[in-house]
Amino acid sequence: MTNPLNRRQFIELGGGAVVVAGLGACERRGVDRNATGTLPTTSAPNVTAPVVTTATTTAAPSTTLATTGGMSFDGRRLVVVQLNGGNDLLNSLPPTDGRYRDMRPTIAIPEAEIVTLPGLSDAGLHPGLAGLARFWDVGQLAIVRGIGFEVPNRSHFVSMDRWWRADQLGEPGWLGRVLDGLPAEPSPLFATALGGGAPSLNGRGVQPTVITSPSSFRWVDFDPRWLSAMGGGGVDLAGMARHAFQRTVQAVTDFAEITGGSATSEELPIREGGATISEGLSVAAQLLAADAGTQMVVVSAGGFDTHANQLTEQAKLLKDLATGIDAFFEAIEAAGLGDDVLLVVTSEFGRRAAENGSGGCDHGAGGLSLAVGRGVRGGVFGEVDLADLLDGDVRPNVAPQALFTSCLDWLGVDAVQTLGSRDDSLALLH
Amino acid sequence: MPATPFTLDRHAVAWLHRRAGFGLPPADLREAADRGSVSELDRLLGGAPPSTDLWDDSLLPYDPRDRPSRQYAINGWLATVIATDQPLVDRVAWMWHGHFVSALDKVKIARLMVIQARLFRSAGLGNFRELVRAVTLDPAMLLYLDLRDSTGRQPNENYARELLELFTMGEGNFSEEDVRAGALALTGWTLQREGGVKFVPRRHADVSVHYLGVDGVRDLDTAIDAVMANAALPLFIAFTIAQELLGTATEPLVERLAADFVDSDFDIRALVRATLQAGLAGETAPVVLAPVPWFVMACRVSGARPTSKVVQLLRAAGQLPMLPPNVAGWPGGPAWFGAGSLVARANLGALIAAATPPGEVLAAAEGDDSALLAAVLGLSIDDFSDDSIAALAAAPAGADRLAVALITPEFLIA
Repeated sequence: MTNPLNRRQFIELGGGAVVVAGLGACERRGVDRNATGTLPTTSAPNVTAPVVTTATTTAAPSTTLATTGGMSFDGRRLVVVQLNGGNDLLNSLPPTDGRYRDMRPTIAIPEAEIVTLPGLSDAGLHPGLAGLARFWDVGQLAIVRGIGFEVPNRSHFVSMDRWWRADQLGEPGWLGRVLDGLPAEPSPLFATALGGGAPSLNGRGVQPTVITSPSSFRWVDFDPRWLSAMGGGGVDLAGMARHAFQRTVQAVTDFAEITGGSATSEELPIREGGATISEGLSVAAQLLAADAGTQMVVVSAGGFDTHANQLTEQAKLLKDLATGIDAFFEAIEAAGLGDDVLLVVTSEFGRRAAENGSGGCDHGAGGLSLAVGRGVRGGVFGEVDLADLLDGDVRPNVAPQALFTSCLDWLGVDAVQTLGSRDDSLALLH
Repeated sequence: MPATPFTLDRHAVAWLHRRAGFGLPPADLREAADRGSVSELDRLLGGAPPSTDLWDDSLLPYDPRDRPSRQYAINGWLATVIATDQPLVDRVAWMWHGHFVSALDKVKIARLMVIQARLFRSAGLGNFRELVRAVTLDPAMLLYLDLRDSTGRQPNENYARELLELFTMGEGNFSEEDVRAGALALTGWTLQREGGVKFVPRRHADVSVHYLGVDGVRDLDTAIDAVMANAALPLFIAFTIAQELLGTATEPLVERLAADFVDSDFDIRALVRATLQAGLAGETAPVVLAPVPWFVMACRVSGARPTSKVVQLLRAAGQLPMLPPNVAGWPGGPAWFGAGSLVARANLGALIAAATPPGEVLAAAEGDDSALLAAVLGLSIDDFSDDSIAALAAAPAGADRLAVALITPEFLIA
């Protein structure tokens, strides 16, 4: 096992830096909508803060994650694929219940196209997800349906925020808390967000490396040594910028080494359009397979807010997702890391059971999560009961905390310390 | 005149142009400083119509398949703002673009996004009620949040939800029932060819609903009346504008601004004036410039007009006009310190510096006087920090040093 501590020079945080607020994407917006009365407010949320240790200027033994042997989680790696916009559960996993077709006269998945899964009688897979069947067949795919908060909120941004922060608004991201608990600030690519910011990885003191566009992650006609001269001190906004620049200089170097690219260039590769999930997962596989210290990756992608034209839009997205996961594990297996990687898929909510007038569905409640990997207990978890909807939505019956608990167990991190409490209702791992 | 928090009034003027505009070239900034911050605020808010935009309609067909027009529309916005002689008008239009969000990737017809940008430029400082009504019936918005598809038989809640959550009052100030009732009241509006908007009575839900505590809401105008009458709206809008322009929004400030906003019958210009006056009086906190305003400012100040690679690099930096990531717009603040975004900013800084013509800015970057460089770049402080001066000294004099200056925390953070 390569210890990232030995390979990388650490830039230590100033003691005060740990009190700087989280750097969440949507942070500003999050403040806007924390309003509970009439006035938007930034006051502390009414939750019990979990016990989370924070990075300090020295690697104090007392802050070491007791069960992980330091910073490598015994080699265990976690990949989270975040589907932004609210992926529709019912068309992802079409039920056999006749009510499904009644409620979706124009956008139900035709029966002939549904991928049947051996042993699963009341639902099948969207054809775009056919690439996942191979994981099901060997018991390495867990399908969680009806996941969501018991009292749902149909706002994208409130729901995303609840997912990111394990329903403890104002607290760091649920994975960011793990970063904060490390004995020292990890190497920049230890926690990497691809495709967009990933507030679930934002700690109070430690931030992930966010690479929106991997093909552009290199210096063009710019010498990073000029930035190195700036140093990384200070606890105000300017200090955060300097610190981020120093981390970035190291991240570009590491990224080029891992992906076999160049850290500097005179020209950028021409690339149009946003990154797909499969591209993000391909980079994630490279980072993990290099065994160079990357332990957590979040790949995020948008487009799942299918209020209109859902049949076409969701089909493209799900195919991209399944193709990406398939290729990802192929690369992971080839690197001999099949036992070490857990991949989970999340989305902020599912969609309304009945279709709207635009060939789509409005915001709903209970959604879909997936977990893939050799460590996963394959099968279906959670319920979809179309006879017992919650205001027209699939009733949430699996708490996201149960998914988070399994992920933290996978990493060997204490879930009680991280989340405030365990939820063993899923227990997705062997 | 209230006590200014700035040690020198020219710093207050520089602050105004970095917050309420997109910076000025050195000579223009000196003229502004001679006029003083009070008269400069009046000038910025003066009410003259903005300079003509730089989009040529003949290159913007109403065709969702015409891909070249998309890049043209994006570049046109950048060029328009770089050239503007009414920076506050364009700064506020940019703010509304990140607030009343529509995005080209779903709207697809670039011409409709240009029509929306023109709405923000022409009406962005007008009456908020009229702006909300115009946004509701804006062709790009009708497409982006699906209102054109919403019928009495099968209402689509997308616009009705964001109208309340993101556009006017914020989460927590309305119920799910309000979303469903509002969706019914707003049905019946359709999009015709070439951006035409038409009300089709048979698609409208002919019912009276209880909406935001108001009975008898049955159509667009009664729904907007109910929205405007909600006590949360002035607070939400005052908070949003203070946060955007000042980087801070304390409760007493927001309550005072909101009360004045109501008294002015929702005059956005008066609200922006009061907000900036509060800033000049000391209610201000650091604001991380997002990539587009930062890029525009760097171009205006330096005189550089780079063309190739700009869209590509701004995309990598995480922000392109007309392509916000979702209906909430761009996340702000330190989220802009993501590694990929910073690399793209450094690359853009090098691009801008290389395109900077001979002049005061380049001359300052060729010398060793960091205070002079800070002044010509329009910073509202006397000099760069020692950390930044070390970085400036590490870069070769000239364009390279200018590239570094453009990404120092002092220039990135207004």
